Amino acid sequence: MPAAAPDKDRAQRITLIVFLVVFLLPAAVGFAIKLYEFMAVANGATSEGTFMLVPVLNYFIVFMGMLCMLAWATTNGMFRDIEKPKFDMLERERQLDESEGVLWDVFSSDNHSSNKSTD
Amino acid sequence: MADTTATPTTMPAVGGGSGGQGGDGKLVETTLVKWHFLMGIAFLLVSMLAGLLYSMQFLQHYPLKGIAIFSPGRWRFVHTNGVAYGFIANVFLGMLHWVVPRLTLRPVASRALSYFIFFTWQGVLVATVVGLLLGEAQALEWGETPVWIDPVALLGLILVAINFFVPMMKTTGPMYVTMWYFMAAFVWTVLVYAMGNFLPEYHMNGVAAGAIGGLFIHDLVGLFVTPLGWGMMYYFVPIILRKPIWSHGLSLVGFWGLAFFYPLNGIHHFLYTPIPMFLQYGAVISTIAVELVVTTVIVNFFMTLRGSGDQLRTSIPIRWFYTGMVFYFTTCLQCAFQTTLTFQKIIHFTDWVVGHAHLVMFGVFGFWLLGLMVYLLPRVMGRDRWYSESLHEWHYWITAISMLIMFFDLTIAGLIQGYMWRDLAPWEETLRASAPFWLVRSISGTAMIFAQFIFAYNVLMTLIGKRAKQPAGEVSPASQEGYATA
Repeated sequence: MPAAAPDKDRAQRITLIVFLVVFLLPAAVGFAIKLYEFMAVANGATSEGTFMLVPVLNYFIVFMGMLCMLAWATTNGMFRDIEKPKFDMLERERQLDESEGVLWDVFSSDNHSSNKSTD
Repeated sequence: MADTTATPTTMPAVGGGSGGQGGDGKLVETTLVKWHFLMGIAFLLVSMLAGLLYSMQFLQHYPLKGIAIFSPGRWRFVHTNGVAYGFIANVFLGMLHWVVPRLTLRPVASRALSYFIFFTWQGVLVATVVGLLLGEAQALEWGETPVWIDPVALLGLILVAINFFVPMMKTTGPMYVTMWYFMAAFVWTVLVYAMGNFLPEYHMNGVAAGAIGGLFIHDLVGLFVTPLGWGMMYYFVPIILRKPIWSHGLSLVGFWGLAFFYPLNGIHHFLYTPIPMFLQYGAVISTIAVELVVTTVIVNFFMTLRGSGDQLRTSIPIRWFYTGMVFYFTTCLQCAFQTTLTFQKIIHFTDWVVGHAHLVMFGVFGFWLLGLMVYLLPRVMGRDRWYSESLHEWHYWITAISMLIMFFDLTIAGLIQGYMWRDLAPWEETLRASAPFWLVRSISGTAMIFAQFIFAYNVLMTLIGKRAKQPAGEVSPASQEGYATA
């Protein structure tokens, strides 16, 4: 079904953008507000500030690690041609299985071919 | 450094043969996969029996009264720790030994290290059970492992991470989402285990230790079990359905969303405590954000299933996987509501939470791991089919129905308890009101255990049955229906 492929790509793109804009961005804004409040409490020299620092710092360490990883992934092209890895994985698995004698007779359906992104 | 994203022209042998990349040509050490799976099943049975024993206390029919080392509270620790580290961790380790080499086309860093980890891990588990029964538990939920076990367990987790990181780090090019989840899980699990077991034990006390305890128990679910579980789903579902995941981009949104929003969730276990309110609200907000992230994952998997719905009927592994996904969405939806202060007023300390925990750990991850074993066990045991397909049907239906009964039973019990406590009903009355629900819990738990014995029997009979004509790991297309029915 070659005609269905652009529609499918478009639907995926729209879903992706909707989830990014509607969910992730507001969550990020909320997070930034919490970060501001955290700094305000930490600087306030109250007893509250002392015992909440450790758990929150724990989180920030993980957060910073993930942020560095995201930056590394972006600059190293991990998100370029974002759909390609799913086809590569499946093709690799098919070859591995077939090398063991397990044939994938239904693999070459339109599920595979019409989904393939254009490089 | 080879680019594994490019399709290889020649494939190394998987479970045997020659020409592979391990010392003896094997890419996947199928024996280890099998051993981890079998130990996982053994610990599942022990843990579930321990849970049943504990539940008898609620019915005032506890059979081992007056024996200190068999006191009910200690069986509860065996139940929870046995499920987490005995069943789930063992089966995950088996799964990783299958998936990582096949994804990277490289064997693990050291097969000897893998065997060392296997034996050490079983030793740690047995020592944990013995230690817990001897009363050596730490006062930290899910971190009850005796204090002298913690450094050994942490060392084991570090070795596991190294063993799998080596092949993963050798790959180049854009990574498949499963690799993202697995890499993150290795780092997170070490950090979470160290944080939960060492900070409250040696460095902190009071509310701060409580906050760390909350982070630990929740992050153990979200940063150890969840990434390994979803990574596994993104690998096996497309393979069994023979088609790629609907949107790889959306799957990465799910991964990064989990990475950024999950770690702060745990404090929602301590709402209404002296922990600063903005931090409690932060946990509530990030929990709700995680639910939105989970929605992306669920949408992705169900869009992948579109057009292949018949697989729910014909493929037992797919049925386990998707039932687990529905339960996962249910638990996360519950989470988004139950972390609000309004809900917490009613459900905190009630059996609602117990029902939620059972649905997460067994209804979701337990189901996924059972589906995984149904798919892989014949292959790693060198058999061409299961001893009995109908036993799989019995196993699935009894487990799923009894899981649902237990979940609804405990959820309703929790609501009744919560409202009675809020209305200041006498404690004895709340116990009397809870008793029928506890009885149903024990009955449904018994059915669940019975189903796992059916599965264990099927595994045993398959194991002692005739070997496949092909070498280990090689299965004919005709016989594929026996484990994948794809």
